[in-house]
Amino acid sequence: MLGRLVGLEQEYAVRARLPSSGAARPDHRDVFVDLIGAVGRRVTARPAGGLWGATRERWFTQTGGSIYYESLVAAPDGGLVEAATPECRGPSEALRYGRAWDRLLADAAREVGRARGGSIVLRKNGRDGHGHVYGPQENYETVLASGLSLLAWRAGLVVLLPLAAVAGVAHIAANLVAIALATGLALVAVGALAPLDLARVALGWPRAFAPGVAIGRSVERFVRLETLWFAVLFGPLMVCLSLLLRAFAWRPYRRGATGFLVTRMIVSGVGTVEPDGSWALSEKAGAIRRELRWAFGSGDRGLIETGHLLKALHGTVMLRPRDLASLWWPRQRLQIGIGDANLCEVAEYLKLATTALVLDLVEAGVLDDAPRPADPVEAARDVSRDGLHAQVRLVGGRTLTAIGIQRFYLARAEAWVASHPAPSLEAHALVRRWGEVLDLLENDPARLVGRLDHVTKRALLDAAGDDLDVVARKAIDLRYHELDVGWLAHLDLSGLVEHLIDDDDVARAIVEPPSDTPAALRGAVVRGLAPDEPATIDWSRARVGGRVIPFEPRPRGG
Amino acid sequence: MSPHARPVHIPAEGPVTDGTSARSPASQAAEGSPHALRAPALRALETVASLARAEAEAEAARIVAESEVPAGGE
Repeated sequence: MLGRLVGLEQEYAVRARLPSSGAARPDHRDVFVDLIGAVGRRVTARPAGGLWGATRERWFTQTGGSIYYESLVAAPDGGLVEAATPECRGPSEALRYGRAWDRLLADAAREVGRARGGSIVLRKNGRDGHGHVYGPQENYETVLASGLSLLAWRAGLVVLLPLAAVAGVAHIAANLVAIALATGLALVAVGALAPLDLARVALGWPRAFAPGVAIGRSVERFVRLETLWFAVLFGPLMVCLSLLLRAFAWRPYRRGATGFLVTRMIVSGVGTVEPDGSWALSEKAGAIRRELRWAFGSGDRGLIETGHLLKALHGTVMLRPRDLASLWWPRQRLQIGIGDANLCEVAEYLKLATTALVLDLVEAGVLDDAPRPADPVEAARDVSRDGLHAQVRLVGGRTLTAIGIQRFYLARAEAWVASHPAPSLEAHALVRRWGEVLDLLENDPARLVGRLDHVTKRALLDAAGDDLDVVARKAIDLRYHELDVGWLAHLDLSGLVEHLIDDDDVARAIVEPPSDTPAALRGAVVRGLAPDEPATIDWSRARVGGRVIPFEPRPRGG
Repeated sequence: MSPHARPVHIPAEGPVTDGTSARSPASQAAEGSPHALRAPALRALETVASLARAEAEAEAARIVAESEVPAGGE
C-alpha cells in the first residue's frame, strides 16, 4: 500500500535579468551552464554523456536524480530547466525529493544571478503569460498489461519492429545526406561570398558577410529539416504504437482511474487566470488533447503520456537495444500528463498520494464500477472551468459532479484501507486528510489558504483587488510560482503555508539518494566517479571504462 | 458561477469564508482550529496582496512579456 515507485518531473521556466543582456532575454543555455556549475558546487553532478561523449544537456546528481536543458529546435536559447527526482518509494519520499530540487535550484539560481550582477529566478508552474504550456509530470510504477493483453502487446511489438527498423535506417540516411548538403552549402557560401566581402573591405565599405552566420544558418536549416523528416518517418510508427497502447496498455487503470484523474484538480490544481480574465482550476487541463498521446510534440498532450514508450521504440535503430527490450517488461511507468506544479506541500502530497492510492485500488480490483467519463478530455476542461460542481458526463448517460466523483473514490479508499489486512498508518492519515479537504472545499474553502494552491492564489488575487485588469492579474498569477521570491514564498515567510516536511528532511534529500530504489546505485556511481573519469550514465545503466552497470529498470522521474 | 470561482470574503475578524456557500455544522464547529485564517494571517495575506498589487500595477506588462517560454515544453 502506497509503496510503489513514484517519480516527479518539473520543467522550471527561467526569468533572468542580467546587465550583460540589456533588455534582451539572456540565452537560457548559458544560464543552464552556470546553474549546473552552481549545482555542482553543492552536490556531485556528472554529465550523462552519450553516444559521442559530448551530451552535456542532461546531468545526474548524487541522489540519482537528473537535471536537463529542455528546448525546442525553433528556440534553442529559450529553453526550460527540467529536474527529475530519483525513483522514490512512495508519495512522501517523492514529495521530499521534489522539494529538494526546488531548494537546490533556487539556491543555485540566486548564486548565479548575483555572480552575473543581476537576478535569475526559476518559476515552478505550467503555463506562461502567452498560453504556452509545460510543467510537471508524474510517474508511477504500474503493470502495463498482464495475461492475454500482455501477450498481444508483445506480439504487436514484434510486428512493429520491421517498421521501426526501416524508419530508423531512413532517418539515419536522411541525416547523413542533410549534413553533407548543409556542409556543402555552407562551404559554397563562404567560398563565393568571402572574396566579395574582402573586396568591399578593401574599398572601405562596411563588411556585408559573416561566414559564421552563414554556417550557423545552414546548421539551423538542417536542424529544422531534421525535425520535419523525423515526424514524417516516425509518424506512422507512432500511430501504430499508439493503437497498440490503446488496445492493450493500462486498461484496468484507464477504466478505473480516469474519473479520478480528470477531477483531482479540485484538490491539486494551481488555478490560473485565463486570457479572457476568467478563472480556471488547472494550468494544464486546457492543453490536454487525448486520453493517450498519438505523437511526439507539445500539440498532442495526453492525460496519460506515452512519449517515453515511443522513444524506447525509437531505440531500435539508435543503438539502444536495452530501451527497446524494456518495452517487453510488464511493469512500466505510467506517466500522468494532467497535473499542475504545486507549491503548497499539502496539495502536492495529496496529488501524489491519492493517485498512488487509487492505483492501489485499481490493482486490488475494487474500482471496476468507478464512474467513467464519457469524454475524459472534455471532462477535464469542464472541471477546470467550472470547479467542484462541474457536471461530468459518464459512460451510460449519467452525470456526476467533480466533487461527487472524488467522494466516490474517497469512499472506496476509506473502505479498502480500513479492511486491509496490512494496515498502513500513512494510508489512514491520507484518507482522513483527503476527506477533510473535500469537506472544506465544499463548506469553508478559505481555510485551505496555504494548503491548496488554487485556493491560496485565488485568495491573494481577491485581496489584491478585483479592479485589476487581466494583465495585472496574470502577472500576480505568474509571480506566485517563483521559487524563493514569489508570492507564495512571501506567504510562507508570513507563516501562512502549512508544511508536511521540515528543512532537515529536504536537506537530506539534496544529498542522499532513496535507499531502496534504483537511484541508490545510480547515486553511488555518480559519487564514485573520479572527476575526469569517462563515463556515460542514463536512467537504466552506466558505462564506466567499458564496464556496464545496470540499474534496476523501474519507473523514474526522467 | 461555481463555488470555487467565487471571490473569497475576508472579514475583519474571524475565519475567511467563501461568503456564499452554506456553512455546514462541521465547518462551523471547526472554526477554532489552528488552520482557520485568523486576524494575523489575514493581515499577512493583505500585506502580500498589497505588494503584489503594487508590483502588478507598475510592471505587469513586463512580467507577462518576459514569462514567455517559446512554444512550451513536452
